[in-house]
Parts: sequence; structure tokens; C-alpha cells
Amino acid sequence: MKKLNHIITVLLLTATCHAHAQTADRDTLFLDESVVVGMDVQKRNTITAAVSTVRADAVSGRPVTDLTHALQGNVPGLVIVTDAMENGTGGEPGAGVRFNIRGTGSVNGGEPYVLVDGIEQSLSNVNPADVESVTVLKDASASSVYGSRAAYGVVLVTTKSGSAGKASVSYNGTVGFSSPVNMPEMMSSVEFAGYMNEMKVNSGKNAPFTESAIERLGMFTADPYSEEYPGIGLNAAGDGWASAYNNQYADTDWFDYHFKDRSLRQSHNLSISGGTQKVRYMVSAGYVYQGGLIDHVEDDLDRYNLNARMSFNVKPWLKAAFNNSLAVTGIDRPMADQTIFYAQISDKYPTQVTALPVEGDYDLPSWNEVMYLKETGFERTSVSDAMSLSMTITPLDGWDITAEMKGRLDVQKSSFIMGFPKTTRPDGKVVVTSGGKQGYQYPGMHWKNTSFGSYTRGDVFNYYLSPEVRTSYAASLDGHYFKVMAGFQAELQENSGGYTYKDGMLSEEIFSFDNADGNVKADEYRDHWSTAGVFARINWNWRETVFAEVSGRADGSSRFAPGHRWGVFPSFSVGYDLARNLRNGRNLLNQLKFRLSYGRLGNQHAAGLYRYLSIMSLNPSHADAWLLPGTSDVPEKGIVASTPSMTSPYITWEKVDNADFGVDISLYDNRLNMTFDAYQRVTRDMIGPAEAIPSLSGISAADRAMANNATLRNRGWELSLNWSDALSGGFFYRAGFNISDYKAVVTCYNNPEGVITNNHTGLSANKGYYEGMDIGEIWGYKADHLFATDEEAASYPVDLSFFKPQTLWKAGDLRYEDLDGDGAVNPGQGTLDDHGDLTIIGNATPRFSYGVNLGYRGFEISTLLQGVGKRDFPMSGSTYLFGGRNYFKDHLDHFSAENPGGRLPRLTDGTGAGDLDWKVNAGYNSTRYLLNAAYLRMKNLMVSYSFGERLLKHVRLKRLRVYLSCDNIFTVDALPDAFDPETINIVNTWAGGSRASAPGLTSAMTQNGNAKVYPLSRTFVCGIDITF
Amino acid sequence: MKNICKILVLMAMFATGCTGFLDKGPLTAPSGETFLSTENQIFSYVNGLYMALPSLSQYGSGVRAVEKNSDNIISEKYNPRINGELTQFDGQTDWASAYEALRDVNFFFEYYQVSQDHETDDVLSLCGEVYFLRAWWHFTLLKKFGDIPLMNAFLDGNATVGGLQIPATPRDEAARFILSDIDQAIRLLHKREVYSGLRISREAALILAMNVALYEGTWERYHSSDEFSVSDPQPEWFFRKVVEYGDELFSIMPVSQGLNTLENDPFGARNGGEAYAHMFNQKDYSAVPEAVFWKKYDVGSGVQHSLTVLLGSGIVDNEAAAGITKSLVDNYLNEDGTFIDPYDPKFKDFNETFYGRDPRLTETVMSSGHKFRSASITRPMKVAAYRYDDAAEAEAYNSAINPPRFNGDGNGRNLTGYHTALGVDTTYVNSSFWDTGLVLIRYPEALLAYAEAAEELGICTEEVLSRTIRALRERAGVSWKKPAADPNFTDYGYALTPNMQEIRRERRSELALQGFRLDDILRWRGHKVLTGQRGRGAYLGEDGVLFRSFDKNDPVAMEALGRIPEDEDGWADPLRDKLPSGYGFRPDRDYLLPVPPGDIALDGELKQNPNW
Repeated sequence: MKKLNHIITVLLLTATCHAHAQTADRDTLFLDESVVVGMDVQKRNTITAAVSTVRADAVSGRPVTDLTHALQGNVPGLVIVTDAMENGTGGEPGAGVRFNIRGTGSVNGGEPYVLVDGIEQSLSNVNPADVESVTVLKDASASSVYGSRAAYGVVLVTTKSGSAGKASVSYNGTVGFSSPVNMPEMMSSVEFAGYMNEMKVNSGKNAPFTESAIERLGMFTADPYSEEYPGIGLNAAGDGWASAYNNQYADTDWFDYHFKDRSLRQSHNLSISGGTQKVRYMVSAGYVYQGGLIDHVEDDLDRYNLNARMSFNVKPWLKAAFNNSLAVTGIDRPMADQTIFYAQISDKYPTQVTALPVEGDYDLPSWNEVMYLKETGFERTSVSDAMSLSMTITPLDGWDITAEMKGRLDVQKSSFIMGFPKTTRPDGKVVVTSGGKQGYQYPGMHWKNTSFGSYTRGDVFNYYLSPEVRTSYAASLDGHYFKVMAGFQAELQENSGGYTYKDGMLSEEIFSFDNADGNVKADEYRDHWSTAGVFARINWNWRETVFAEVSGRADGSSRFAPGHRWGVFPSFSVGYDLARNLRNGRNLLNQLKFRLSYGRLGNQHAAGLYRYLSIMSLNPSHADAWLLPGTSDVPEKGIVASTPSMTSPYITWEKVDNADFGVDISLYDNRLNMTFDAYQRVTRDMIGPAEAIPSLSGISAADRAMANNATLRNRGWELSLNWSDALSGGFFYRAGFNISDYKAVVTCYNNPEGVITNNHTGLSANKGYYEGMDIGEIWGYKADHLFATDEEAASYPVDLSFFKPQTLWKAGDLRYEDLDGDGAVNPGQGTLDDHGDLTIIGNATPRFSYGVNLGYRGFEISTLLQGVGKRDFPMSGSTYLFGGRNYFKDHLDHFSAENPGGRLPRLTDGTGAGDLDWKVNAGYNSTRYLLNAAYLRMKNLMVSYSFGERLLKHVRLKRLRVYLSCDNIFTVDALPDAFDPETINIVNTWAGGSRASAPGLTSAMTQNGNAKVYPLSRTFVCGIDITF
Repeated sequence: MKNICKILVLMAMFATGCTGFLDKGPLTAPSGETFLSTENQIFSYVNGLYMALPSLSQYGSGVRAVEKNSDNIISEKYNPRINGELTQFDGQTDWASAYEALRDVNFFFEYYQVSQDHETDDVLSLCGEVYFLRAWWHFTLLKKFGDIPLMNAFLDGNATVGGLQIPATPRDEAARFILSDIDQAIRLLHKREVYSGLRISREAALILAMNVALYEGTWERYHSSDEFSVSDPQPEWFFRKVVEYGDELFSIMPVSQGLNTLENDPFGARNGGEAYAHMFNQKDYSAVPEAVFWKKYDVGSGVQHSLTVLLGSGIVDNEAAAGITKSLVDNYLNEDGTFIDPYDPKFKDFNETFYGRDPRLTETVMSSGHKFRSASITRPMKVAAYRYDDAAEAEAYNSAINPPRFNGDGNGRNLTGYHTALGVDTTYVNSSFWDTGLVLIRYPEALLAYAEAAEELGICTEEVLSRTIRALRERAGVSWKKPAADPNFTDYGYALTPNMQEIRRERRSELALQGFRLDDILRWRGHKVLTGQRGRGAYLGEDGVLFRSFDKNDPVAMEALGRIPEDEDGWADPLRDKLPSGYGFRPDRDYLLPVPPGDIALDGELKQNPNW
């Protein structure tokens, strides 16, 4: 009882194209195909919930390291997360990808529940080559039995299993390379000099580059790093290198310097499957290597996967299954968290040299980050092993009792070395850097507690156990089919980890604790949580024409205080397939099913682990602790105990109510399939801010007791259309299109004054919600033009003194418009009732996400296009608009006397006391600098050829296929190169951004993804599949 | 039905037998309700409370630049308060952070549960520290907001709008409450010697009490007939408290011991000026009683700051170009105890300004000979006229000239010619981080408060002067002269006795760049030094040596000089164009910060301060 059509179409195209290109019983095949759904396998045509599946070959051929990327564009309603993401790392090898199903669920977050062969697991641990099917459960009815963690959708990944018969061996391998996409181009140093001169002079400062200096820049460019023009000289005192940007005269594109043009990637997978009537098995091994894009340093990822699935028919009444899935991932790179490095790259001047004119090994200057990166190294090996054993007893025909034990072990071993960065002084002396450096530390450690010449090793040991017992009974009677199921499940997660650090390394030959005689620091964490729940479901249908399902679950969570722990979450769905009655012999109308579901699920994500308890937090190495005597005679930092936050004893489940109406249509002998869903998801009792209390309570807003007092409503729809047809001669083609849209509105929030708090409007910059707010909306000013002349600015009849004194407005400044007609531009009181000239200028939520896939088989070609139809993004306040040190070619297109039509405002210096002009032109959200973040990206193009069976017989192969697959081939968008539409939401906190200061509510603003992330990559691989 | 029964059975199982499965408390953090029960646990909690106290941040200039909020420092990013630019929302941060600190303090009193037989003197002294901190934070609020709601209990259990309808306590009552907390602290605290001044001590509490009483006493006297008056001013009561606390302090730490004189100095001072300067540029003040309460830094432990390197490279304020004012420079006496005539043309010579002056001047403001730091070498400041002759030695002579840093961009640029010398490490070791100690409460504060209160009470005898401000002057190496009227003394808008002039002069000199100046101006109702004023720098006329120490043939240097506006007499007037009519400090409003409107809206008992 699921989305019949979609599934049918998709699987038709892929699984059956070879064998059943022209089959008359296709209909039967599809309808009887089994789909993995809530703890069960159901026939497709009996599904009444909102479910999508993904073709296995949409996944297996893709050159992705993380399975999530392969799902993008293939599942309507599945969106890679667009909330402001703090320190997301874009395309970094091993970077996690967050996604949601049907949009923002709760303002507090809440992610889809991912189950791989029934066990909760990260998608990045799954070997794409092993995937048999991916099912996405979107509504309450589908997810209900998964309970407490399924409120925002479930992703079920099923890996391949063996079937009885002759053993078959497959090999799949790819090799290729990745290159960065959307790399911004920096100004040449001559352009930069003119740019800086203009900026400084505009701000009433000295021009930093003289004519002769600019001339020298030209000389360098003609003959770079030559003996005559090394790009750098001595400083004024003559005792060091000239470090100021205007005392160097190189011509460096730091992006070009730090990132490679291409790096290698490869993957190899081997699997053996087969079995007998008693035992079936599938074992596989996989290896993937992904070289990173950062140049001059080690940066790569290796992953090994070992997967085993076995099933046993022990007795006619006893079945058992055992799965084990092991993933070992190794990461090598200079630092654990490199976001500071990404901020640094875009923060360099083109005139700075990359290397010093000295002999020897240490010719890198201190502003070249590689000098430090070279001496540091981070290695992490993660092992994740998920396994399950299940036994099913069938006492009577139709009655199953299943007991299952699922477990997962996540362990990690990491090490971080910090050598001694060295550089050479003009007099030839090598200077060794002592102390530490911000950003260079083991995760969880404060950089002030670390120094060069140190070694840190850390470990993580997490495990997850989930026992489950369920029973089901199915029977048919008089055209009535029914199945009841009930069971219980418990979950226990225990996490622990820590690190040990020692500095004072004696030499750099070997990094070990034995070789160090300095400070030792250590820390650990341990936490745990548990849930328990009972569930039940009843399915009924009448002649597979009328369907109904009722399910429910009662859940308890350790995150809430006794008395507030348990919640009951029921749901139901019904369906009616008109085609069953209308069917004619020609199979013109194969399906016309209406579905309706409604249900409630609980979300515990926002509660934190122990917020209902008063907890003293202890910190033995607080960065700001004083050196005090007392516990010892020697002044020491000691342990710092901090006052507990206000406790939240009454918080409980957020309740997520889902309503879904769907239509599934299959036409023309199942060649055209359409699925449409419209839904409403309301998160009630959402944890919001408690009643505002005076700040004289001493309880900061973040520490206040939480309360279940807010509501968020999502309404959206999804449509998928698929056409497939077979041509004569075994050829086959398909075309699929899916599109989805949603809008999330806050319908209840504790903000009685209607205070708007939105960054870059002149109002305070906290996150704030109010009733009626569209998630992602951007408040700003209407200002489409720049003042063309000083006279125009002076005679502008509107009072702009809110921004800066009237006399300081000049040509090239933004011309703000007086929307409320009061003769002045300002944000009023910053409330809904009085918001002055502020207006909602856009919305950062992606609308109309779509995917297109096309395939032609015979000589196979397939492609996936993915995009977002509408999205706004304010670039105000970002470093891109002169706020930081971004010097891209784009910036040359600014207003000046010579270029009155420039897109960007006149140049002003955003530093020190001169930031007023900068703020006026670049610090407030304005319509002129609102970016259109819609895009279309060709995610994948694959060309493959399968050799004919006759040919293969000679070489005793079952299958031989070669292919070329490319990801992220091209992008159509209107963004400057520094912004990638898929990483624009990433906030780099090292560069001063934060999630809390993101604009609107969901997207990044300060120091966002403007080149301050690891670039995504364009990947080309060629691959081969062999089965024998 | 069968299944529903099953569900019920299973649910019953969970509700009874398995409930323990869902009890998953924290594994590494103890409960807040029972934590404060042993000595070591109390140490770890109270140590955490120290972190809220003002101290040097990792990168900032901290307390050494804070006096840009007064007539001691001019900054391009001038303080908005003294220019009347604050809005009614600008009190929020100060208000909230002080009340957050008070919540931490009151949590201690709420959950303190050491049984009597375990209440050692150390534990009691820790209780005294917490009383001290409660007084400290209330005093911080009193200075900024006047009438304030007092927080003497932990209110989390009642933290609703209804539970927080708390009226403000009139400031005089609040001051008495603060003193009563300090009385508790005095009773419980160890003396300084126990922890070498690294922890709050009885002496520190006495000095805090003197500062509180002096603040409130002078406020009530000087604001007796303006918007900020209290209904029943009793300044004498507070002045007498100053004297009482002072006498108690002197009985446990006499002046001979409390001042770091040439004889007492453990760092080898060669003169009185250095004995003074050593209170700002040393690492360890354990053996210096004058450092009544100080914060220790240690790079190896990550407790570090970069102030020393900022100051050494000439940066007065790391937020913007800045400089020390002529007004502060003129405050210092001559070494012989006589006052200067600031209009004396000899002061047009930058170097002349520093000859024969109170040694604390050259320890506070950089002058020729004082070394600047660079990456690896240091060069002394040298202000001397550029030579343009062809003599062979001219080039060498010129290359040694190293004037104040008017050139350059950003924060290193000086606006007045006067760089900060106070706190510069004289060993000139190169490092990006420093661990020079920071003295938070210094013994001279007590002497200055005592003298001022005595003078306000009319009992400032020769004897009182001699053991207070005379002791301070003589420690610095300035001869003592009986106070006489100085016609050029800073005009506070009302007449001062010669004694009071000298007490205020001494206060400004001794406590310069230590964060006291704005508070003093406020309590003295001294807006005359701010409103309509904007401060001057050194003489920059073309006839002055300072001007001539720049190469007139170097267009960059000349342009840099040209960017410092001058007044009609040729003195640097950096804010001339920015603030043509001087600071806009509003005497009817800016003496107090605005109470956050959000709190007034929620707490109906609160009132806004005058004219906000």
C-alpha cells in the first residue's frame, strides 16, 4: 500500500530491462514486487502511505563516496539541508551531508531516521555498490511503527542478498579524477593595487600603492620569483621580511595555489552471492579511495567495506538471518577541523608571496598557511560495524513471531601531531614557531591549551543495541485480506570518548608520549540515552481495491523527566484503487489509486539529553580559568564548576501531525506512471522559548527553561512522472521528472510583541520567530539603485540618517527607498506593527526542488539533472561585499567614476573607524544585493555499454559492462563564482559567522559559503562491471 | 482485539518492570543540587566565579585602553557614552552580565551545604569571597544604573514574570546593602598573605568597601540637586565609613608595608618611578603587598594576553587609532612638587614635556628613549629635528630618529603623540603572548579614598595627607609641597580646596590608565571635563620638534602628519573634524545608563533612569 506507480516505473526501468524488455506479464510483476516498508515487506499495490524508492543503478554507478549524494534529485521531497549549517565543510572528503525529508520539521532540528538492513546507520558507511534498494518513508502512516525517531521520515536501505542457485561473482571497479567546481578567480596584483588605492582613497586614507610599486607589480608578473623580482624585500627595520600587503609585490591566486586541479579517485568492489534452499548468502568487499583537492599537503580518504548477509531456512517453521556490515574509513589531512583554513585562503592578498627568496627547506612565509599545515597531521580511522540476527518462528501458516537483536559498534582512533613550523629570516637564520595557533587542535580541545611540538591521540567508543520482538498474523477470507502486527522495541546508546595530549616533543623524528616531556592534558565524555516502545499495526484490504491501515506506537524516552516520558502516537491510512473496477483488457488504465493518511509521531530531538536535571558542568581545562591557589599551593587552573542552567522539568515530546493525500496513476500498460502527494505536517508542542522573563533573573535566554509552546506548519506537494517504453530490438528508454515544494510557517510562537529579529536590518540579530512567519524569510530594504552622482545623493529628499549622517552620502552609495512614505528610511520599532521601511524582500528556503532523469538503454545513456526553482539569498554582510578580504575578479565590477554602471557599490574600507560607509552599502539586506540562488545542475551523466550475452559466453562471463560516469558536470545559476548554490548555506564560524546570526532563520549570512568552504568536486570516472 | 490485549500487556510491563531502563542520567557531571558540599568542590565552583571579573582578554588592550571613555585617551572610535550617543538599549549587556554573575553567586548561597564540622577557615574564607563577589556585582550595577533591584537569593525556582516583579532599591539603600555584604566578607576572609594576593582577601574587601562608600558619598554630595539625587542624602555617613574601613585596613596593613617603595621593591627598582612602574610590568606580585588582589598569567598554562606586545609596539587601543591626551600629561607635577603651567611655550617641545616631571609621567607615557618593539629588535623612541645638511653624520643621525607613530593605518596609528608606557615589559623579550600580571586592587586606592573622604569630612589634616597622598608622591620620587591653589587645575565646574585639588590630581596620576577615570568624573559630577571638550595631543606646529622629526621630503610622512588635525595654536586636535562641538555628553541623562526597556516592560516595578 505505497506509492505504487512510482516504484513500479522505476523498477521497471532498471531491473527488468534486460530480461523482460517486452513482457506481457509486466503488470503482474510490478504489482507483486515486494517493497521494504515499516518492519515488513509489502506488496507494492497494497501500500497506502507516502513512499518513494530509488533505483539501485541510480546509486551504484555514481562516483560518490557518500550515498546521500546519490539520493539527491532522485527522491521528491528529499532535500540536502539548507538551514544555516555551522562549519559545514562542503566537499571535504568524509564530510557529512545532512538532508531532510519534506523540509524543516522543527525549528529545533530533527533528522530522518536512516536504517540500513534494519539497523540505524549513517549513509556514509554504506557501500553504494551493495545497495539493492532505497525506500523513503515520508508520512506518519509509513513511519509510525518506527516511532520515536522517525518523526521526520525514514530512509530504509536494503543491501543485496543472495538467492538460491549457482554462485555468482561480480567485480565492479572505477577509476577517475575529481576537480574543484566554482573556484573564484582572484584579482591580479595590479588590479588589486588599483582596487586598494581606490578603496583607501574613498575612505580618506593614504593610497597604499605608489606608481612605482604598481610598476614593480607588473615587473614581477612578467618575471615571477626571479632573482631580480622575488616579490618581497626586507621590512623597514631591516630585520625581517616586509610583511605588509603593500610592501610585497607578488601575484598570487591563493585559491589556485591551495587547491589542486585534479586528484585521483578509484573504487573496487567484489561480491559473491548464491545459496541453496537452506542457506543463502551474499558477501562483498569494497574499497574506495578519494584524493582530496588541497594541494601541498596530505588530504585523502580510504574506505573499506565488508558486508555479509546470510539467511537460513532452518526448519519449515524457523528462519534466521544474519547481517554484518563493516565499514573502515581512514582520513588523512592536516587538521581535524579545517574550516579556519578555508577562511584563511580567501583572506589573503594577491600581492603576498607564497615562498621566500631563501635557500633551504624553510622558504615558506608565515602568511602561507602551508607552512603550518606541512608540520601538522591528522589521521582518523573509524570502524563501524552493524550487525543483526533475527529468528522467525512460524507456528501456523500466516503467523510469524520474530525476535531480532540489532547492534552497532562505532569506534574511532585518531591522532594529531603538531611539529614545529619553521621559516627563514632574511639573515638566513631559521626561526622555529613556538606556542600554538588558532584552529590547530584536536577536536574538543581548546587551542590555548595546545602548542606546537605536541601529540594528541583520541578515541571514540560508541555502541548501540536494539532488541525487538514482533509478531504478525496474515489471513485472507472472502476477498478480505488482513494482517496484524504487534511488537516492542528498545534502544540503548552508550557513547564515550576522549583524548590525551602531551607537548614538549623533543624531536620531530617521532611523535609519541615517550618522546615528550611537557604538559599532559586529557579529557573524556560519556553519555547515554534509551528509548522503549510498543507498536501495533493492522492492515486490511478488500480484493486489493480498498485498503486500510491503522497503526500506533507508545514511546518512552530517557530525555524527559519521569511523568513526561511517554507519548502515544497513532496513525491510519486508507486507499481506494479505482482501476480495479475500471480495468479493461487493454491495460490502458493500470492503476488509479487514491490514498489518504493521517498520523502523529513524536520528536525528542530538541530536548537535549538531560535538560530536566540540574547538572553541574565541570571543566578541568577551562580556557578562561584563572590561576588560583587553594586546592594546591601552586596557583593552577584546576577544575572549574559552572552554575547549572535552569532546568526544564516539564518538557516532553514534540508532536508531529502528518496528513497526506496521494494519487497514484499508471497508464498505458504501466508505461506512464504518476504519483502526486499533497501533505501537511504540523509540529505541535514544539520546544520554543519559555515565557520571556526580566534579565535581572540572571538567566540568559539560552539557559532558560524550555517549554513545549510553539507550532510549525509545513505544507507541500510532490509530483513524480515517469515514462518508459521499450522499442523494438531490445532498446529501451525512460524519462522521469519529479518536483516538490513546501512552505513552512510558524503558527504559534511566544513572541507577543511581534518582534522581528533579523540580521542586517539594523535590528538586533538574534534568531526570532513570530506567528505567521515563513521560515527562511528575509527582511530588508528596497534599494535597487546606487546614487549616480554626489548631487543626487545630496538632494535625495529622504532622511537616511539612520544609516549615516546625511552629509556623508556620495555617488555609488545605495539609494534606500522610503517605502512607508514618512520621509525617512529606518526599521521603525522592529515589530510587525511598526517595521518602518523594512519589508520581506525574499525567502532563503529553496522552492521547487526538482530532478530529471533520462535514460536510453541498449547503448546506455542516462542523466540526472537536479535543481531548485526559486531561492533568494542575501549577500549583505558577507565578506564578499568588501567586509573581509575577498579580492575576486567579480569585485572589479564596482561603482566608480569610470564605471558608473558597476554592480557593486563604491569601494569603502570596512576596517577600523571607517566601517560606516561599508555598513551602509554592504551591511544591510537590500533588494539590489539579493542573490538569486536558483540553479540547475547536471548531477550525473553516464554512458555505458553492456556486451551481448552471446559474446560473453565465449569468455564464460554472465555480464560485462563498461561505463563512463561524471558528476556535477555543469551548473546553470546566477550566483557569483564565490558562492556555490549547494554550499551557500554553510557558515564558517572561524570567519565570524554563526548559525544564530544567519539571516532570516534558515540560511547563512555572515561569512557564509562565499568561498570559505571546501569546494564541491566535478568527478569523472570510468568503470567496469564483470559478473561470472 | 488479541493485539490490543498484547499491547496492553506489554505496556504494563514497561510501566512497571522496565521503567529503570529509561533512567539515564548524566555520567560525567554531578548534580548541581548536592555539589557544594566539600572544600575542593567549593574551590572549583568559586574559582569559576573569578572568570567574570574584568581582566585582560586574549587579544584586547583591556583595562589599559578603557579610559578612552574619559578625558585620558582620545580614540577614533571614541566611546559613544561620552558623546551622548547611547540609545535606550545600550544598558542591556552591562545589566544582564552583572545579573548573570549575581545568579552564579546566589546559586552558591542556595546550595551551599557544608556541614559545620567541615567548615574550615578555608571554606569560610571562600564564603567570604562569594560575599565579596555579590558586593562587587551589585557595586558594578550601582555605578552604572543607580537604583537597582537587589539580588540576594537564587530565583530559578520562581523565575516567571510574576515571580520577578522586583522593585529597584534606592541607591543609598543599595550601597548600604553592598557594605553589609562586604562586612560579612571581611569577617570571613583570610588575609592577603595566605594566598599572596591571588585570591580575594580581607584587605581587598576593605578596599572595595572604601571604594563603595566613597562612590556613594561623593555621588550624594555632588548630585544633591540634580536628576540623580537621592531623597535623603547622607554623604557624611558614607565618608565616615570610608575612614572606618581605612583605619581597619591600616591596622592590618600599614602604609609602610602596603606601598611598594624603592626600599620594598623586590624587583630591583633603581628609583621611585620604577617602583611605581613595577606594579604594572611584572609577572609575579606574590611578594608585593601593594598588589592586594592580582591575577596571575602564565603562557605555559594558556593564561595569557597580548597587551604587552600591543603596548610595546605603540598601540594605545587595539580597536582604533588613539592616543593619550595632553590633559592627562598636564596633570603630572614637576618632580619638585610644583605644578606646571601648561601654557608655557616650552611644552611645544615634545621632549621638554617630560623633563623634570613626576617620574610617573614617563612611566605612563612614552617619551624619547623609551623603546618600541618590533619583530626582533627594539628601537628607542627618539624625537629630534631632521637634518637636511650634507654632513656625513646627518644620515646616521636621521636614521636614529624614531618619532611617535602618526603614520600607518589602523590601530597602531597614534593620534596625539603620546603612546602608553604603563605596563610595557622592559625586558623586550619577543613573544606573541605575555604573562605580565594584572593588579586588580592596589593599595594606593585605599590611600586615595581615605584622603578624599577625610577632606570631604573636613578632617584632612597634615597628618592624614602625609600618610596618604604624600606617601604616594614620595614613593614615586616627587617632593612634597603643601597644597596650594593651582590656577590651571582641571575645571570640574565648581571650586575645589587646594587639598581637594591635590587629592584629585594625585588620584588621576596614580590611577591613570587603570579604569577609574570615568567613574570619578561621574561621581564628582564632572561633566565639564567632557561636555563640549574633545581633548588635545602634543604640539604639532611646524616649529615644534615633533613636526620636525618627520622628513619633510617624504610625502608619505608629510601626508600622515597632515591627517592629524590641529587646533588654532598648533596642538594636535584629532577629533576636530569629527566632533566639531566636542563630546555631546548630556549632564541630564548620561550620568546613568538606561535600564533595559525589555526588563521595564516585564518587571512593572522598574523605572527608567532620568531622561532616557
